[in-house]
Amino acid sequence: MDDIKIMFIDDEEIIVDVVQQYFSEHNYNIKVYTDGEEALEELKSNFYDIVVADYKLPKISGIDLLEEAKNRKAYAYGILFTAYFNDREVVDTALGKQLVSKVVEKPFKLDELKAAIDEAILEVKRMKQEK
Amino acid sequence: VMDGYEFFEEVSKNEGYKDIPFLFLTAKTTQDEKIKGLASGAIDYIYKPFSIDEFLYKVSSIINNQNIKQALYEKDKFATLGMLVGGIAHEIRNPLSNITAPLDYIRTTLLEMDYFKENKLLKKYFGYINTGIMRIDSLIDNLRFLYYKGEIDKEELSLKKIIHSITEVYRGTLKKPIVLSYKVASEHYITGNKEILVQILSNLISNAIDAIEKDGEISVTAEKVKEFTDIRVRDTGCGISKNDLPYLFNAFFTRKEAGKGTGLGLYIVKELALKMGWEIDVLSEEGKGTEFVIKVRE
Repeated sequence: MDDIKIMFIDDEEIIVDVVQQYFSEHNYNIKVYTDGEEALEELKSNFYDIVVADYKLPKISGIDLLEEAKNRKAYAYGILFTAYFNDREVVDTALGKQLVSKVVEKPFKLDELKAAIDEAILEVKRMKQEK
Repeated sequence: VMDGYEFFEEVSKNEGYKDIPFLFLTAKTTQDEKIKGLASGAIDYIYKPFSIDEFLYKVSSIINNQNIKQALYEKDKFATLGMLVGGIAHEIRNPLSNITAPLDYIRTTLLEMDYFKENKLLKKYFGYINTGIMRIDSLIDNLRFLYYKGEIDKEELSLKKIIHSITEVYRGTLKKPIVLSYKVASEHYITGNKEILVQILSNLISNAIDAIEKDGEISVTAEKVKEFTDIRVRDTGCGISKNDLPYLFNAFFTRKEAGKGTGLGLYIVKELALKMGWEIDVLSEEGKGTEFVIKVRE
């Protein structure tokens, strides 16, 4: 699975810590960020196959981050996670602009997130084969 | 024999009476006597002989002052309580997510191990913990709105969109055979705060689900009635007894079994509706069902 690069962004340190731990243990190539701007800087210089971002981030929103990264073709597959159904319009925007292909509701469980990421990996691999 | 000053002094010793405004009625007019009375806490004098008009006027102005004082006190009390509760809610949220994320790691990791994989008890206990955390979380969510201090944004809300997504979410959580449906014209808009409307409807729908013991129906509708938009949440559940109806919206009133209801849901619904300037009404018949109506004036 090492060949698929994953980026995960959330402003809560503990969530990020746990996600990093869990996915590294399961041999995923994952890099985590709590700062959206730092994440964007990284995306400007390195391509990621999958980007998982929280909508609510300080400084830069998850949507803006994904939009900017998408313009630079910095990732292939986006996953947005968002709190409850309050952010319906955000979700519609993200899906409408094809910034993300999948939405995970917060609070999420690690196994749910893993299932979403596994699905994304399959899709990314399929896209790579088509090329 | 006791004179007026002694009587006043005795009465003022009682905690319950000490805030009662005291008027001295007197024929004594020396400056010293007057100061003595005022110094001991009386608020005014009426000199004999007096006219009944003067007396009534003074008393009514005192009552007026007293009411204002009471209202300010209540307002202040509520504001202080609100700040406290809001602060606590905020302070609980952070440590709560410090618990949930690592706990989820522990749960997932354990349940992936061969040794624990088939351990039903472990699954059950993690379930208990999860339910508890979810309840704290939703309570905090409610309090957060209730005591929200800042300006509340209002916008045009599409009732169809909002009601569609809420019912969809609840339909996914149903554990009983309940038909949850909605009927809203697509061009139906009201002005209000989205999160507050979502909170109100979520509370009403989740109550409706609880009110249905085995199977039944819940419908959410919106329609224009004169200058109002009526949003109705109706269930075919157990209904509310006549005796309970007057207390339904009171804080900490609940008929749910211990550990299930906080007694805050409907209180919060009412407070949030008031905050938006909406009216809320309830119709219920025991054994037949309940209907809540939120009346939004256009």
